[in-house]
Amino acid sequence: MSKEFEPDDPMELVGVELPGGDIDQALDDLVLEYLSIGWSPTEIMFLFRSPHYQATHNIYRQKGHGYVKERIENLAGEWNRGWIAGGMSNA
Amino acid sequence: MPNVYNWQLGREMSYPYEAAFPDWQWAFVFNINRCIACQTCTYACKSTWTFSKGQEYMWWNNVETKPYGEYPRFWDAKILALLHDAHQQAGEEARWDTFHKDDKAKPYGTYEGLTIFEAAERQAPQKEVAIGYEPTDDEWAAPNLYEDTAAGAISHAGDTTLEPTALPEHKTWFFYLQRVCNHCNFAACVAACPRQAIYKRKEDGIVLLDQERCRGYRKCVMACPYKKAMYRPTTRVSEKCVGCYPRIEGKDPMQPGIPLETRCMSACPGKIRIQGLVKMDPDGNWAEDRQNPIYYLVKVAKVALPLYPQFGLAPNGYYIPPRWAPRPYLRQMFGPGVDEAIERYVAPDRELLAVQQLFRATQQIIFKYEVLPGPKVFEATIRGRPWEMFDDTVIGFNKNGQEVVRGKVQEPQHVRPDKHYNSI
Repeated sequence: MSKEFEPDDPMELVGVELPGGDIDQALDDLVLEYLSIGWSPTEIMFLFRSPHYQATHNIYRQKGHGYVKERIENLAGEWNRGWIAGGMSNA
Repeated sequence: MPNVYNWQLGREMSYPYEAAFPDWQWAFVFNINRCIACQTCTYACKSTWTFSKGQEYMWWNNVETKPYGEYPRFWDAKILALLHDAHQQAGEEARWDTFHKDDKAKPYGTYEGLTIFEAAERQAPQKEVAIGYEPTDDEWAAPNLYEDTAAGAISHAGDTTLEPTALPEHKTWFFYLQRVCNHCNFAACVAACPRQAIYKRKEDGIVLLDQERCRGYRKCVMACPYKKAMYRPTTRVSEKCVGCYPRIEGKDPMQPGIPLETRCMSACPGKIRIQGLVKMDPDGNWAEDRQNPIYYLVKVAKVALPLYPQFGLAPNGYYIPPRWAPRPYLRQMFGPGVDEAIERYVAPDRELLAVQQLFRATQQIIFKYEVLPGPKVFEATIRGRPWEMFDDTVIGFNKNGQEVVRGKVQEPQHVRPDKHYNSI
């Protein structure tokens, strides 16, 4: 069973999908946030694969394993090119 | 009602009392982007202040999931609806003039709508000092109801069995909102109390409720739009967050004489919180104090914004907005400074990166920080934005000017050995 959002019932935001938001933007922003604190692509992928992390896992289910993996790798690649001598990597 | 200047609104507004401001103001910054809703803050507060009979539903600190969650339920949807209705009845529009800004007097522009005090003034006859409502017992009873977890199967009258079903769940986007009393400059609880039992302390701006004077009329519960004043049925008086004032006064036996952060702040394992005291000017704005981390985050970097500034209370809690949530929702919640705040947060300059290392780095309140320059370690263009990182060192000093924390932008990583991987 799934419930649609009912605009005339704004007080009951229970188990419904609220319109709005950009799932690709959210995916990129979440990945970049974790890259910026030093997480590796493998660690970030875990957040998306695990059903215990609902925000990231919902993106994983909607976009699929391959899409999420590729996006994380691309962003991590872009990010890792920035490290210069003396810097840590997100390995 | 007298007029007072509210710098968050960029204009004067009506308030039942003449303006009077403390020497220092208790304030905090929360980084929503880093919160995982572990509720450690919630329990640190609960186990310190509200563990007794009659306080069961009292959560002075709570973390709720937006946009679905609220404690008490529907609090912000309800007050926003009341304010919307008041605008409609007055034939006015709640909008911001963001074209005319001033760093000190109107950093977010000017709010041209009604505050909750002004909306109450438009009522004829005026019934209360601020529009508001008293939540029902049901609304107080269950924090975090139906938030992250699925809501359960829906049954119908006459059903004896439930069909196998996928449980409904939230989709697309959400974020966690951490909430405590904002110890507002223009507190609605103070304004509404017919007994003048609630007062703002001159030394630190903490808003306290005198339980000897309180008679439990619950006007504060009604008026506070953030719903952080609560009624205790066993004593028949109201209670609220005390800002952990003994710790702020330096009376915690752990470090006598040294101001410490509150329990909820100092317990945060996600390092999303920093709390401090800011110097106040006599006009109610913050005195320039460039090296105070709270002043820097709110007034200089402008990455941290007040919660629902349009209510008109000048709250002293500031939030770094979540970068992934829809902007219209965030603008309603944090005002028109959202876009600039997120722009600065996602591509931080070297000072902002350094100051972020001070979040939850020590239990002592940091009154001043210094940044020692280090080498550049990162330089890239990320999604079209130039991004640099310097391995700077940030040093935090307590009230006595003693160094209490020193950290680097590149935090050392410690990997637990395999044989202890899953042990604590």
